[in-house]
Amino acid sequence: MSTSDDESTTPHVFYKDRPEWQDVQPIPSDEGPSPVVAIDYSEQFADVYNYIRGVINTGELSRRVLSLTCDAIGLNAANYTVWQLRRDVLEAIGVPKLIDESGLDKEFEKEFTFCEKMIENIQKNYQVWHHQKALVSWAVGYDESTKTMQVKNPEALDILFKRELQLTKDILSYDAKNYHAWQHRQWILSIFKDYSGELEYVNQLLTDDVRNNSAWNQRYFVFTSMQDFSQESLTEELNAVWEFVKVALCNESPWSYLRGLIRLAGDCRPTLQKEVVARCKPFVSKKEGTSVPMLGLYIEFIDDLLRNGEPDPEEFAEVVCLLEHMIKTIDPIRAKYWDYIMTKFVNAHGDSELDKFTKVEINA
Amino acid sequence: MAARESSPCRKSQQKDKDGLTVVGLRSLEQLQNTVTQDEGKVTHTYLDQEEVESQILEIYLKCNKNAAKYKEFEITLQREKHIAFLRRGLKQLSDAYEALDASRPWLCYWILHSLNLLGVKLSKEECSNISKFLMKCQDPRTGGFGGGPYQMAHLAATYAALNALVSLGTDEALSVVDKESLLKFIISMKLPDGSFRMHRGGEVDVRAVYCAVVVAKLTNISLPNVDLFEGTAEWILRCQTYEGGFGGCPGMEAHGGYTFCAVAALILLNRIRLIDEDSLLRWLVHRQMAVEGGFQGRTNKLVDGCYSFWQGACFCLIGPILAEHGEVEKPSRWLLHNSALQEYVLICCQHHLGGLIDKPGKQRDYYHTCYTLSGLSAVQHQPDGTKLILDNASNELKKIHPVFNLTEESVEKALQYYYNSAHARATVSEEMEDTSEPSSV
Repeated sequence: MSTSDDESTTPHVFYKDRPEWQDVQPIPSDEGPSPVVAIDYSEQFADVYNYIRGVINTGELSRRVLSLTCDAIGLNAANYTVWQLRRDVLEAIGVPKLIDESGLDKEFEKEFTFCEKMIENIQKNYQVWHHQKALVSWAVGYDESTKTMQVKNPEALDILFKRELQLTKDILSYDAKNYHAWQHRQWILSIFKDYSGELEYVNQLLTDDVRNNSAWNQRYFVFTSMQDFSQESLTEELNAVWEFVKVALCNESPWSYLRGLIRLAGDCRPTLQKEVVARCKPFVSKKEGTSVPMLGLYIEFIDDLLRNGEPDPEEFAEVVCLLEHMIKTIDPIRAKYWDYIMTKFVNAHGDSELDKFTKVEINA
Repeated sequence: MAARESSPCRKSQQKDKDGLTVVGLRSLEQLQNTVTQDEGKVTHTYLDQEEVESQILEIYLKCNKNAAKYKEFEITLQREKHIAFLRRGLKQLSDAYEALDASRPWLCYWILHSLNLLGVKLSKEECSNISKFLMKCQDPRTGGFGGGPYQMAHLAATYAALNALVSLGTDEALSVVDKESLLKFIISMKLPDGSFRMHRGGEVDVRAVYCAVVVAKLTNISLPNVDLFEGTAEWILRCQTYEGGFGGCPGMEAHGGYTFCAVAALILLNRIRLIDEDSLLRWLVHRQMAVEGGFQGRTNKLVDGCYSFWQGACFCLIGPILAEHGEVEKPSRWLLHNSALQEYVLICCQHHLGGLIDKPGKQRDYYHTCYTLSGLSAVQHQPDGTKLILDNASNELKKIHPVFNLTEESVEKALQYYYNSAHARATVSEEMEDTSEPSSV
């Protein structure tokens, strides 16, 4: 019996004309008396899926079903039922085996290659990536509930770890924001618990395109996975990120990252916020300082500092002025939002200024 | 300081006695002032953005200069064309749709919900045919619905099938759902950490969680003495990112579709107060594109008509909690730029042959038709009960319920059927209590 890979290279013969399939009763789709959203299937599509329904009906889990699923997936890779049938067959015929230092079992290796080819062809599809995840889980004996792997041999694990990082890297080289690829990569990093090379990769992507928000998200994922959140490490990261901030001030991604970073801080949060405010000042005061995300963060940090510190009429006035500038001139699309922020800001600080003043008056 | 609906516009606002306000287009000056700058750093992201933005700006410029001509086409909702496109798909689809052979309840839902938004009533016979087809997609052995007849039950297909049946709204349609096996299916998809799988052996993400919560709440199925969704809200909350939106699973980038699923599910679970609503709101408002007026799905990605709903509806979902948390009064308007979004949908997302699209130059499809129209409806209907319609009152769509993305009318009927009528009898729960161990949940 041919394996799935060989099958796709042979010229197509309808399953209904194949002698080796004569024992299977094909089942046409049952659409009911008056079909709706009826798809005008090609003859080949109908033929393959009639046999898929046929084998599901008999519960057959065999090598020929494996090759049938290959054709069915080729016609519609989003058919999750067929992918699950494929996994059921793989398990039934004993293909999945734990990896050892010499690599994957030969037949299991073929399944990896098949799935990787599918990923290459259809990069944005839930089923292909989920299948890859299932294969990796089998290969290392990963147990989701305990988050542990059966395979302990570091050499064996390293083979697979590198392979999956390379796969996602290859796919991200076509589209550096492919959500599925990032999700798979994060899963790999977290189950192998090795983030050591990831920051370097992120830096490379950010150097290629500093506006790649997926890379920024990955940076946060890495930072929160491996770092302590001491003032020292946060400051070091702030300095590293600032280099990217300066490159394009209107780029929202690093500003959001800075906000996220500083939220991780404990007692040193006000210190870091003051640091960012001070670094923004030269840009803010310039007339051409029209970066909306920068002004947004600047205003927010001043708001936070005012809430936890001494009132400062000068800063209060500056924020009100900046908000007006955003509403009227540089960010009218978000006018309602900035107006809402203005209301909150004035409610929080404007009245208290007045209150303090009145209290002093009364006490005097 | 009053926020403007749209700064100096061509046309003054008109309000009629039904609380309907017609607004005009944004000014050209506003558009030209806010185009994306390369800041001396040209990257892929910038180039993609620049290309789309300049194409759309050009469309808006033409539209503004030649308003009378464009009024007839682009700014007017082409109801008849959209209805024809939808009706055709309801019957027959070309083999190009083979890729959606495992999403046929979705096709039903996208089309039926779009027709409802456009105020089209189907005949009894049509409703009956669709109900019978969806019945074929249900698997009473496992419970739930699959992507087509003979396909394995899947939570997203189940959500789509239910929403299609509720969109039909007939007793025959609503009676298709086998509640007892559906409950078993939902239980069988649940993981110990509170999340859900899409199907047996399938992937886990916020979509699956949203679908599970919606089908359980809408059809009124639950377990007595056991919380079917124990741990679920906590799992969803782990998906809120440092940006403020939600990712598909913990650690992943904030994304419009997943954010909608997370927020809507938390509302149904009555746990929405646990989110960081300030950072969610900040992330949401920044997803609206300054020139295009529509929404992007993620930071530094391109505008897409479908996010009119995924992001747009989130404003409707979090509006009430912003008011509740109290620093400001209940807003009478959603905190997005309403007319800009309507401009994007009507001027940039209508295919000239009917159906709606992602962005100019893209193919039409039923997914984009559904979500682009749904987003338009979400923002046309304001929190204070008034309506805000771009250009002319005939563009008004039926009001949606933002949690389910069904028309309000459909949701009312479904709730009446599943909660208040004889069909709502708690037989499911009672029987399950006898047959299942709560500890197995």
